[in-house]
Amino acid sequence: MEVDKLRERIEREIDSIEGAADLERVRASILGRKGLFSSLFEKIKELPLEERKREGRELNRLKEYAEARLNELRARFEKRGEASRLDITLPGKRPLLGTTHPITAVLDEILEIFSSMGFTVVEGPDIESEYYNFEALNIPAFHPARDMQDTFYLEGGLLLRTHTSPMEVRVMEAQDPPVRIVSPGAVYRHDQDISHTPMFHQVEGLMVEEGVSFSDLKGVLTIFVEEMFGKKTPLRFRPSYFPFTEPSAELDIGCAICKGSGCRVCKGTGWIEILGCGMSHPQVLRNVHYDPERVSGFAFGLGVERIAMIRFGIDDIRHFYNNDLRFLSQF
Amino acid sequence: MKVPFSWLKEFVSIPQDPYELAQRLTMRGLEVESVEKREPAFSNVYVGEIVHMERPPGLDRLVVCHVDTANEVLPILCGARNIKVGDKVPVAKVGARLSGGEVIGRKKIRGVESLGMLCSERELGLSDDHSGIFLLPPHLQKGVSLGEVEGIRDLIFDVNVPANRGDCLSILGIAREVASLVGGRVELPEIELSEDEEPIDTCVDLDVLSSEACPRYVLRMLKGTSCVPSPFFIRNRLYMCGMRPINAIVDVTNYVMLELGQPLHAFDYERIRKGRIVVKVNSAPLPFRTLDGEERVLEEGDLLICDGDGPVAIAGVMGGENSEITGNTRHVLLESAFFNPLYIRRTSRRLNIRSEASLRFERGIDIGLVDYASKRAIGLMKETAGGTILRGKREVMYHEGE
Repeated sequence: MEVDKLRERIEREIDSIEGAADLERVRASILGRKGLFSSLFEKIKELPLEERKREGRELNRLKEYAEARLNELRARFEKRGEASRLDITLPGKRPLLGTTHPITAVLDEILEIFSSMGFTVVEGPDIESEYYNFEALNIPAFHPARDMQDTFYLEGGLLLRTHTSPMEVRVMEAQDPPVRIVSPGAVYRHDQDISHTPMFHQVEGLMVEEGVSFSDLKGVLTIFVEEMFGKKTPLRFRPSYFPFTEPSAELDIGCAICKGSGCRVCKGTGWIEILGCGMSHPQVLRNVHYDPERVSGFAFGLGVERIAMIRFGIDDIRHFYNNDLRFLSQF
Repeated sequence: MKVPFSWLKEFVSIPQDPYELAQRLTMRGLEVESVEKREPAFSNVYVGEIVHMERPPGLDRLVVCHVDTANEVLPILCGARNIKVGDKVPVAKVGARLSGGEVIGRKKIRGVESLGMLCSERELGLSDDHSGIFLLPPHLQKGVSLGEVEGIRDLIFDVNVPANRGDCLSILGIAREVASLVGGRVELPEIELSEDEEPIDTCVDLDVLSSEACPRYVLRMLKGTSCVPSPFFIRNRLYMCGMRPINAIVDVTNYVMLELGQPLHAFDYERIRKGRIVVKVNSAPLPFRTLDGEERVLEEGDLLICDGDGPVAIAGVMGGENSEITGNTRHVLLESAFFNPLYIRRTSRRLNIRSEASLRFERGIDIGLVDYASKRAIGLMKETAGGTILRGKREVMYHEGE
């Protein structure tokens, strides 16, 4: 390339610079690592020695010139100050606003329903002792019921709680009846698939006083289902087994996805299990020095993710924890 | 627990629609998670009886079987060696479709006409067995459509048995629950064993050193047997219940466990040293190779089954490689016992072995059924694998009454 033409082109580009942003762009295109000069220097490597020397000298001179011009411009812009270049009529950039996570939203709703029925919200530790997580709940060591939940054990007889039920014991230890609490929180189990994550959320419920019966349990939980899923939601109490309640039941609601005709979500049964419940086992009451002859109670534990999945028609629990904005921003 | 409907019906008569029954079981606390349909992969195959066999001239590999399918006798060319006159066999009539999609046509080979085909289990999509014609149990009526035979067309209930219902971890247990629902009764048939003159006492001694860990232990013995594969309908039921068939001896132990809930273990008698079984709680760490080939360490407090020299099984958890049934086993020593659930649970958890047997022992089995299950299994072993049952049993019972 002829030196004059090159100089002309550089002049033209530098003259066209209008602001600091332009300056940086042009500087990059001329002096940058992938800019004009580096490609020219690359090219002259192939020339014979003599010619290379000559061309190189000229190019270097030109480069120094360009650098000087650009530096001068930069100094001028800096002096003038960018403030005067601010266009205050432009609309502002909106910061991305977070939304309530679906689990939080559903949890709030659940707590609101039980609060309105006179239940107090209490919270407890995620790290529990074997005593609170198992023994106090009538699950002795080597009991087959320990299989029902795969536990993360920590050192020193501690573990990550596998359910929120330890809070039943903690609350009853701390106060005399009547008790009417709900306790939300994270729980942990060694399990991961389409409907299980290693960490999920439960809400524990407990009501203990004189004369509490299974009809109270049915009444309270029926109101919960009606408030949560609508008045006409079909529901059933199905006998089950938990070591800390007797009798025990699981509460199923009619599958909202297939309306009871059978689908993948309800495994063709038309029913979806939403929580476990039962009358507090007398041994559990005795463990906290309550007199099972005088007071009785019921307890329940529900999975928040499960409720949210049914509520929003989500078929894979892992969506909640993938942090995908396309998912999260829908709530 | 998987429960084939046809098996359940052997214990209790069920007037109801199976799906309605599933619903009622669920509302009883035995949640039926799913009802799986098992359907034949073939069509137009019937039960036939071979009434006559002839070897046509010029065809040295094939025989003509005249097969009675109740309303007609069909001539069918067959090359298999395992059939004889009187056998009941599956007959794919002309137009039948086999599991691979093949349609059976009329054939003529060197002037000999063949109107159908006798099938192996593999050709019917029932198993991988292609060693010969599928020999059907003699009690099947000829002319019956094989696809309608129970076990080939069936419904399998997947029952979620809660942790406190160890009594329902068997077909018998579920049948009892069903009986109480439909107002029936479950009765176990009396078992008459045809035993040999030779008493078991001359072959094996038994000592149980801990009444707390093992309140009841029964041994019976089958001599002169062989490790054949089990008949199809036993293998089929194991399959339906999610277990893998191995050989007639092992299959029967699993079959009876599924049926009655009593886990059983079979030892190769000739590998039991000094003709002696000792049940005891381990007192010092010992290396031991279990039958899955793993090298394990037995700790103090594990309940062990030992022979005259050392351990041969971890009670209720897994047998040892040193005494397991092999293809060469001739004499079988059959263990049926009640082990304390705490011992089984502690050991199976530590070794991380969760077997169908340990699951049942952990939940507690019926101590009154220990001997019955032993009789049932030894009788069935003799029936399927042959041999003679030695007279009597070796038994230690610390438990009072039955």
